[in-house]
Amino acid sequence: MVPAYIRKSVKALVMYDREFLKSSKKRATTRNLAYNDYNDYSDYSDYSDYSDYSDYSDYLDYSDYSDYNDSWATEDYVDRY
Amino acid sequence: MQQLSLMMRPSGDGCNMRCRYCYVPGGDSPYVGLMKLETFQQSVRLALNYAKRNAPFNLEILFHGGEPLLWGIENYRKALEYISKLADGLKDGVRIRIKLQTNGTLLNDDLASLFGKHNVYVGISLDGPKEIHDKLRVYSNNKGSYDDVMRAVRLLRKHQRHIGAIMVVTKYHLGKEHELYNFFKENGLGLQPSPLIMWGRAKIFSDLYITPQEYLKFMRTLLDIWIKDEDPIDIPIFMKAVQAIVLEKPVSYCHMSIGCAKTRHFLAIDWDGTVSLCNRTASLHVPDFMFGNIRDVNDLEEIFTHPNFAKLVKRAETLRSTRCNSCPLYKKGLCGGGGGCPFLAYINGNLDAVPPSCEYEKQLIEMVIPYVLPYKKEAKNLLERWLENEGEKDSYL
Repeated sequence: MVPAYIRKSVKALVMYDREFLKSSKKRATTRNLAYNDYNDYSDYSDYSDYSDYSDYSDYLDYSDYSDYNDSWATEDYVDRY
Repeated sequence: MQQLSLMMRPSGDGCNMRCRYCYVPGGDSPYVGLMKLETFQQSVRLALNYAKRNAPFNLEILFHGGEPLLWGIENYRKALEYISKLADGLKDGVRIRIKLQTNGTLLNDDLASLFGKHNVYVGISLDGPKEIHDKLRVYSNNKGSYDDVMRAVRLLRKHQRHIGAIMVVTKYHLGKEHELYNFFKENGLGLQPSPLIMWGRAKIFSDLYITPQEYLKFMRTLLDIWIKDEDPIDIPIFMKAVQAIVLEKPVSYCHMSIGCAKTRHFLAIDWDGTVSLCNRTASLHVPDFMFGNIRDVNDLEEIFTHPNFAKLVKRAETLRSTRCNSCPLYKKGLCGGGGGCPFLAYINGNLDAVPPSCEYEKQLIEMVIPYVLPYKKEAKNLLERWLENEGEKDSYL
């Protein structure tokens, strides 16, 4: 069973975009200004479909988790922050 | 799907409060004034023309500041009616959302009703319970604003269903993660934690400062609480991370895109029509982030091809090939590799470098990954079923 935090996250995505994704021909009316009929969250942009994925989509490799704990930070970075 | 977030700053840097950590100088700034309605209308008209040409399109109109409610109810009434009128005249493929980020203290029942009528999604700045909030979000006489903000929350709830809250994480928040989570949950609010930026007034009150490590520890604890909750509250940073991992796309934050300028998804219009990239960069009032005046252009393409805008696009492309290409988050496809937030890079002293914030942002997203990967396939199936309108039949809903 998918945990509640994942269900919530995915549901927020779906509730917002389902109708619009299914039909981009949907008429924009005052009614369609509404977005509080889905489980909105407090940030600003819905999932962005950035048009330019072509040059890095090949990097999608979730099988390599070895660097999760890598520290990219340096003392220098911490000081500067 | 193409999109544009048009951030309107109808009162510029003007604000009725003097929050101790504000990165905008606020009332101390000379960049204060009220936007003329014609400037607003010109901005919306150009944005809609652009949206129509690029449909399907999400257009977001976000009122920000300073404190945007200084613009006054009559301006909002006319502005919202103008948007509704234009939206009714649209044919296909453009969706408009209207949002407003406010400190809440100037909200009254008439404004709340107006925002409810026009489905304006309102985000409130709230730093937690009274004993924390009132130390930070104060008026010029140092009086805390908690009671006024909670009154605004009640008014908004009377007129609409969803209200978000932004909370700036300071020294006062550390170690209080459970208390804060429960506070926002009990008040029916989502929670967007945001680390204190040492800029503007925050530099004066250095006792509020937290290190990146402290921030990450705070967020780690918050994540632990969130994933164990059977009915979790909305925490956008975590939700966006989950969505990105499931969808195998970059996290949908501006600073994790292929470059906020490169996407052409963000523009900010100051009260006098000056165009910038976002609310943060607009507050700097420096040429690097100024792209002319909206009153002088006939098409948004003129903004997107402005030399200063082009420099920011180039910045993202250069940093991708020189820095981001070695970042694990970029390699996993969870960041677009656009060189991080240019505002944070600028205030760190080098616009052409990756800002230090990239490091804690990376660690923040990587915290979430192990909690999603085991369920990724199942979550994706769930998503696809829901997108096919089968959600109502699904027991998960």
